[in-house]
Amino acid sequence: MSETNVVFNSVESFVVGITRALVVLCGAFLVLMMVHVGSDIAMKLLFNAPITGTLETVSYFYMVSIVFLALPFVELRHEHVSVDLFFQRFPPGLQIIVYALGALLSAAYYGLFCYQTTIDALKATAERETVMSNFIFYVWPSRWALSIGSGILVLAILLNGVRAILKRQIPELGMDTDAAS
Amino acid sequence: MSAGLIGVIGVFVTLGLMALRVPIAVALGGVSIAGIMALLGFRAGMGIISSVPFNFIGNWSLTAVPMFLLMGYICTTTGLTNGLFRAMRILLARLPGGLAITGVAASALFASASGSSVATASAMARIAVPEMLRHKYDPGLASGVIAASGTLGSLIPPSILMVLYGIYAEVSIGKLFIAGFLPGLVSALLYMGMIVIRCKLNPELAGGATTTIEKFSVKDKLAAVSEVWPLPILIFCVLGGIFTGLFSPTEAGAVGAIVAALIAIFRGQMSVAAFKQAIIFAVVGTSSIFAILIGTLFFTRLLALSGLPTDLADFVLSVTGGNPYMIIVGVAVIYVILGMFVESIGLMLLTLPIVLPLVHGADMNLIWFGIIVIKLLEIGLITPPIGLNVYVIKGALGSQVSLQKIFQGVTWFIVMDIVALLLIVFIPALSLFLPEVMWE
Repeated sequence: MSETNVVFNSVESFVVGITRALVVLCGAFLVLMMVHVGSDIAMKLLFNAPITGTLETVSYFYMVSIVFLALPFVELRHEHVSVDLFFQRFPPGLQIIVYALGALLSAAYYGLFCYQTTIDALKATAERETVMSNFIFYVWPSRWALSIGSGILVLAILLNGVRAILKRQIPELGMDTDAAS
Repeated sequence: MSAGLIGVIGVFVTLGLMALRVPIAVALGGVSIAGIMALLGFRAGMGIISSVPFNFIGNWSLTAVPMFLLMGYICTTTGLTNGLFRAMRILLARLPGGLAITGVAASALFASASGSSVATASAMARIAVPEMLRHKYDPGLASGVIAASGTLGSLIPPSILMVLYGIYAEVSIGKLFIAGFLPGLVSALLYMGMIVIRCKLNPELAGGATTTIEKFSVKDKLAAVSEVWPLPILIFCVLGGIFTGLFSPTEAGAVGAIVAALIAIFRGQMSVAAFKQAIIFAVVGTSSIFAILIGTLFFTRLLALSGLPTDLADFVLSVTGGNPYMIIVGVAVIYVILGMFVESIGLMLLTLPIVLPLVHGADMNLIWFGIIVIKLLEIGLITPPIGLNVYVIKGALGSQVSLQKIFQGVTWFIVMDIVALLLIVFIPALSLFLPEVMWE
């Protein structure tokens, strides 16, 4: 095995590991969202006593986490919505070049995203950021979902790009790779 | 470079990148941030990244999307939708073209519960089309009915397209849900009526005299009812709760997911594997939809800064004299063309930043327009030369039916869709009557 492959494989298993851990967390949040909202409605209807902070917890913690922490998983499964129609007709060599450039562009976009949201998260953490409510709701932890999600996403995009070049093969859209299954 | 020019370039670069298989989220978002930086400088671009996504996603109304997705995936992964075709067939077998009519009804219910017309087309193509072909149905009719009927789902509530439209256009999601009901029903009845008339005039289409009409006993019929009840009950619970005010449309998603899970448990169809799969699908769906939505929000900012939507709206309004029908024709052309490449949710999020200012300018009712947009988006999925649903069906059927046959079969349904669209456009009460009654 060449040295590139060793480096590639260890980076790959690192990214895949974190991505999986994040998506498990997202799944847990999704179930919590269902149970939390359901219990709130039940409490409201049965005892006229809604659960305080449901709206804030569900919107800021569960929702924000699910959206951003699952981004790398969506990338590894090639489920980001794309238009395949013209691309399919390109010759294979051109496909790899276009795909790799697309990956660079995506990485740049989410890299900027990660840079800015990390600054925001650090600031929010330092300030112990809260949101307006009839009680004190600390919102700063969910700021980190944007930073972490987009950061790992950049790694996942680069990983897919490098893999396409090394293997001379473009992943199909919506395909479950063994790495992400 | 003028602001307007940057806006125009932004639109074309976005479309160009999309054609190169750059994810829609990145094409929209990346171009927008670059455009805003070109207009106002680096810090302004970063400022948008800082202020927009977090504040927008941390929004209570949006939580309906993951919950409705979860509800839909629980229905499909636990197999609540499996027996639908088999059972409805027993109930509808006596009509001319009974299997095709069954296809319409089963697809409409399936799509309403699963929330995706493409997923419906793919699943029903495997279940219903082979059954119709076995009964010597015309291949064009058999495949066309399934390609078209999945599109009924997004008008029949609950519908994720409606949730997203409601949030973006800032109109009541509950009103949209109820507004879509009659147009969805009319579309389905038009499909069914067309099938009955065509099969009456030409029995060969439905297998002709070669197949005898199947007879089913009362016991069969009872069994069929027990097979189809979960989905109507689920839809009834969700809508009933919203309209009686027991819970909001946002909360309805969670209720729907819980009810779907309970029904699956009650019927002994729930397994850990199926539940896990539903969760993963819902998480992936949520994340990929909102990645695009964030791109849309950035795009909206870029376009607003460039003044393009207002310029375009002024231009269109001056050309059309603010005639809503002309505007709808324009929007229809855009959707039919772009509908060749992009699935309905992506297409709606892509076009709303440009389309909505037109609607505001012409002072059209946003609920009525929302129903029209959703109908147009779905028609775009089946129009030649590249209807996404048609290709999905072709993919599922392989060599059994030619692409040309499917398009031929679908043409009849497109004609009915155009009739339905005209009814929706010229009789606004079709969409607006029920919401007015419910909310007055």
